[in-house]
Amino acid sequence: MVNSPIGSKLSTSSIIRSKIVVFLRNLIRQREAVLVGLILVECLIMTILSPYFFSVTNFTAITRGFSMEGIVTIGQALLLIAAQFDLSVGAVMALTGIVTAWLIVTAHVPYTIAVLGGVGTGAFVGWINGVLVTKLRINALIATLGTMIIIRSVALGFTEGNPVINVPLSFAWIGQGSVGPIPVPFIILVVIGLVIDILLRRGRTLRQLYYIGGNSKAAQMSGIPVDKVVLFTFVLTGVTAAFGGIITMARLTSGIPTVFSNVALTVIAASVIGGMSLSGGKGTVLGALLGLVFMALISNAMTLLGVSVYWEGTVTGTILLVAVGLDMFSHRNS
Amino acid sequence: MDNLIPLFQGKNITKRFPGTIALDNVSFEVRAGEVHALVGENGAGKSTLMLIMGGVLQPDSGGLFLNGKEIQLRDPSQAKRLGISIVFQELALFPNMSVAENVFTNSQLLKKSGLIDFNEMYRSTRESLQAFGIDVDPQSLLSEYSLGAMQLIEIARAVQQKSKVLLLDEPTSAIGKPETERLFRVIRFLRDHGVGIVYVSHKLDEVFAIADRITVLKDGEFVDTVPTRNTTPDAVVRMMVGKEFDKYFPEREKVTGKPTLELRGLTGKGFSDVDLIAYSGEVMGIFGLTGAGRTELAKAVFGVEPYYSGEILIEGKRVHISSPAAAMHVGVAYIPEERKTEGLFLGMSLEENIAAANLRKVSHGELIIPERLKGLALYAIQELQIKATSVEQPMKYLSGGNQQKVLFAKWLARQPKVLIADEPTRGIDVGAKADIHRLLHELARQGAAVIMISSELPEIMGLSDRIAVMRMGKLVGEFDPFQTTEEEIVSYAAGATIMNDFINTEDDDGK
Repeated sequence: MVNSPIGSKLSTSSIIRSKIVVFLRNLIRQREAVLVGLILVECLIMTILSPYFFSVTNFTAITRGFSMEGIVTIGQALLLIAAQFDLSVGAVMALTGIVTAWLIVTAHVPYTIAVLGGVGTGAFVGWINGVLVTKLRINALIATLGTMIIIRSVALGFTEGNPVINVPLSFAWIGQGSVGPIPVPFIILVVIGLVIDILLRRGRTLRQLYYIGGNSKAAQMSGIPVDKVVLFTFVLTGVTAAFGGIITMARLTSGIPTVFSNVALTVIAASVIGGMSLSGGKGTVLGALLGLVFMALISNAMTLLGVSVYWEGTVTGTILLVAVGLDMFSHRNS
Repeated sequence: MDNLIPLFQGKNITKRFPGTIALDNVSFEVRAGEVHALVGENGAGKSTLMLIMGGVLQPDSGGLFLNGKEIQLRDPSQAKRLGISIVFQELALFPNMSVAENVFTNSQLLKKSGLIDFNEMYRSTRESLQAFGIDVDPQSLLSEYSLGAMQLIEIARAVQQKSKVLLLDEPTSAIGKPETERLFRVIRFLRDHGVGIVYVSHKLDEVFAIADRITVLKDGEFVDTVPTRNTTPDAVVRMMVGKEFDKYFPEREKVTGKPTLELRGLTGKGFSDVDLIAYSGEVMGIFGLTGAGRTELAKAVFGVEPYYSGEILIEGKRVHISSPAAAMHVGVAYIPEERKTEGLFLGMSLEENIAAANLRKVSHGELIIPERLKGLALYAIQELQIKATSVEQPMKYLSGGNQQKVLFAKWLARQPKVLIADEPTRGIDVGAKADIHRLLHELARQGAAVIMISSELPEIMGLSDRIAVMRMGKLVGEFDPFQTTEEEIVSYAAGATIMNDFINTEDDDGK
């Protein structure tokens, strides 16, 4: 009897607490909304802290900076939904840039043919990855680690380690140009991103990726051609890596064999921050891209605030772990 | 045997989950040297009570008492230390390690030097498994043994850990009849050595064969505890469902149809030389023990596994089935035995699950039409009386019976000519079971050839128009259910020697 008022108070506060937990959980689950919120907060803080942040120049620089990785993120995101991933994308970017640059500079073929050559190379590597994973049943980590090492070596061997330089400025427009204040790479990113995002939400083919990532055995036994779809997605990832590589090559007007060694891990990290899981079945292209934008803004902020770039990894790594940790928390409490 | 203080007791246990009360003031006890069965429909709260007694979940109110002393269980390992072991439906074993290492998972025997004493572990494992009457090599890998043997090994582990209370959750859901008999011998052995055993099961025949007392739960509430000898299966079913199920099975009015599926000398992994004809308009039951090759045969017909030789004909036309997609193309559908791993997308919504095999149907060209997606699901919910809060509800929150109905809906939307349902009512509650039976029957009447694989004799006898029996990969007999007996079916399925085991069971018990 004496205890009852205290007891009821306790239960009221615990009800409020559980309501807050439920609210937070639902919010955390809307990963895209959370990221948009975080990005806005980030922009607001930076506008206050740095006079250089809120300017067309800075925004152009940021968007041009993440656009190529953004295009690669799209392919990687599709694979992650199907519970696969591709470590070779960075090496593919380097090789396709070199192939395209070589075709332009040395073979003097028309730009379209050169680009097709680069994209074809990316598609071919993607196809190899897909065959290794779906036909030979090699784990994606090992399969794409192997091709990554090979492709990087081919890029270095083909060029003797030297960049393929003197790509004409007329081609450089793809990487350096702008339409009004908007960088061309960003436009390409938005177009590809929109198309893939819509096809992933509403398209019969890409929708199958969620089934495959959710339960590949059940997907197969529902008549979904699991291996074909996964193989196709590896090819698509190779193609997006090629786009990223060719645009970066255009921006630098040279194909460089040693670059992009961190890209694969960066885009996987961005995708996971954006709501993907290595075990597959969840996330969206929009979410993955927002994850990348978020990381790019952090990096920009550190530059503007005069923090050494060497510390960038500390921040992005922490963000990655916090994102996954919150995800685990929200599921454990359900 | 009737001690005044029960060995292990839960008093006035209440457990809430968001939106529901899983257990409402339930009390339950098990005495030393008794088998106490816990029965109830899905969602009655059996599993929740088990999980609380095993330390996996904590009750909102109420207490647990071991030998009359109140205890708090924070986690299963603490429960284990106190002598309470829970053996889950899904076994928690390590297939790539030796049998002995599985038995001594967390308590390896050590030599003086601090290294693991494998010889002693092998010896001790062999000894305890021999006490159970099973012959297993402690040095070989666990994965070499059947599911039934693994279960006994898991129980041996609990015994090794000096458990006084053993909680068994649906221990026979994945094993056949002979293995069940072996399990029962082990349970009786442990009971006679003073272990208190809680036995959760859907299968009333087993409960009546093994339990000393039966407790019935319904909708999270305690209904009654009765000594087994003072009650009947019918009385228990009435308590479970709260109403009389005098008609388990729909009436049969057989429509003699055309041969829809014909197998000629089909041979593959796990089955050989199978000749079989399934007619439209009939339910064909396939009975057999675990490992008889029924599932393997079904999977070959559905294109999941290859067949080596023989022919498959659909409506008289020879077809080649190399993948599930190819099987679906010629009108074959398969509802797998392993519902969760092979059938469902647990993290996805109800409508997405139904659409999985119907993506073309809900699309216009490449684009999926959300209205069609939803429409298909709403139609299924209505037709199959699926209980769900919305078409977007994730599958993992549906009960076993409703999950199974969703799987049926997924295939019915394709209007298959041949539907193979593999253990369609395993692990689902009595009400949903009756719904599934009606559904299979209805489908046949609409002209499909329905093939039902089942290990439950009453179901095979009650629902089939024809019964085929498989043993060791061969079709060993075909029966008219009205001109055969359960004994005859079992004798064909098991072979004569094992048949003796069945008959002698009662005698063993008496000695």
